[in-house]
Amino acid sequence: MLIEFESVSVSFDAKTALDDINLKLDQKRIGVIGLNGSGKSTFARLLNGLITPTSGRVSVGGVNPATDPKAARSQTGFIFSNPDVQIIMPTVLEDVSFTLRQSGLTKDEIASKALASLERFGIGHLANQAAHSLSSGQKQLLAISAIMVSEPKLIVADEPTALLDLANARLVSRVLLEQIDQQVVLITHDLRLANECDILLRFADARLLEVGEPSPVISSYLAENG
Amino acid sequence: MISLIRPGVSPLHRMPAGPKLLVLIAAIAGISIIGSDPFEALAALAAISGAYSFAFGLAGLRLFAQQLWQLKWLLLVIIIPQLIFGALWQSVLANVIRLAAAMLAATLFTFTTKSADLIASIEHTLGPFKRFGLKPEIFSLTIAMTINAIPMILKFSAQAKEAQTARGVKPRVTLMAVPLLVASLKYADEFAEALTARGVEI
Repeated sequence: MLIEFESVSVSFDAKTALDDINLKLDQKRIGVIGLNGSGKSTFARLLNGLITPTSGRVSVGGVNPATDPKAARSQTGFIFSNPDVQIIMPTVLEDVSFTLRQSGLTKDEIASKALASLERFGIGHLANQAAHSLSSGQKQLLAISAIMVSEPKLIVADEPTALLDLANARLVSRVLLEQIDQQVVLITHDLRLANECDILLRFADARLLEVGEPSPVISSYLAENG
Repeated sequence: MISLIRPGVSPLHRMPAGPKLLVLIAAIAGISIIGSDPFEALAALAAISGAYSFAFGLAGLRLFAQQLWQLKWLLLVIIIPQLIFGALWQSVLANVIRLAAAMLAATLFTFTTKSADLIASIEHTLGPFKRFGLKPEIFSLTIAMTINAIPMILKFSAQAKEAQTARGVKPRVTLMAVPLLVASLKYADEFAEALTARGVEI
């Protein structure tokens, strides 16, 4: 799916969060790195209309998230760094089923699809557990299951491993980079993870500083900030 | 006290959420009109324990006792001011037993009802009011979010307590208020964003 940014800027009051971003991306694994406050999360939120540009135009698969947020959100799943805030329903199966509540499927069909999604990510056995009783890694897998059940075309993950321990971070990373067929935009501070992407974007001070193969982008990032 | 579905095959489990909610409302209304006779209130409480047993067999009685024990502090908080202000002990006792019976009835409802069914039932019942601009999904989501918010608030409270202990301060409710409020507001903000990302339009 083609992601296009044309002269996109975002400002909050007097602060510029993104400044004149122009790019075209169609790679399957798109990594985004940069220091805190560099504009990474703003970039991610523009992709499904959680934030709208102050000026310029964003297009994701031909959909403008600013003017058609509903269509943008149906084709773009978003994973946040804090797994706790993504849980809407009390139990695991109900939370995944919630995504399909307006799909027109019957109750049994929804439950069956939700369970299949949980099983796909290895947490089918937790289906009837209270969602808040899961570990952080399991909650993040739940968030992925809840998003993947609606089969979006694009997954945007904003530091999805930031609050996870090493084992869970690796598990979630493997799922996002290897198990999912969809296009993934991965915002991360984990440079090993960033290195596995097809293309890497580096933000600094609200500007898109570099776009290219991961290795040279990471090298210059380390040189400037190491 | 976060009570979620406890699997079972009893008629209470199988009963549709809508009619079951009506039965619960009727039961609570019935409990609330009991007078100041503690024996009548005790009979209501016994009936609720019977309902637990009906839903879960003998294990239901154990569950009933556990839930009743969990209410102890709340009930104490209610008893003390009434005694201080000179209410008759029979009346205080009846009030407390009635309250416990009503809360245990509500807990049994959540033990035997999937929250998704409850939410679907509320949306279905309030459906006709859509034409007057009412959004049933707001009511149903509010219930789901309330159930979810309780463990989060408890978590924030535990974190605030730990942070105070770590800094050598004896945890105090007054000191916890601000960090708890800040954490709750931050959670609310992030949760709202996650809801929007999952296509919930309110």
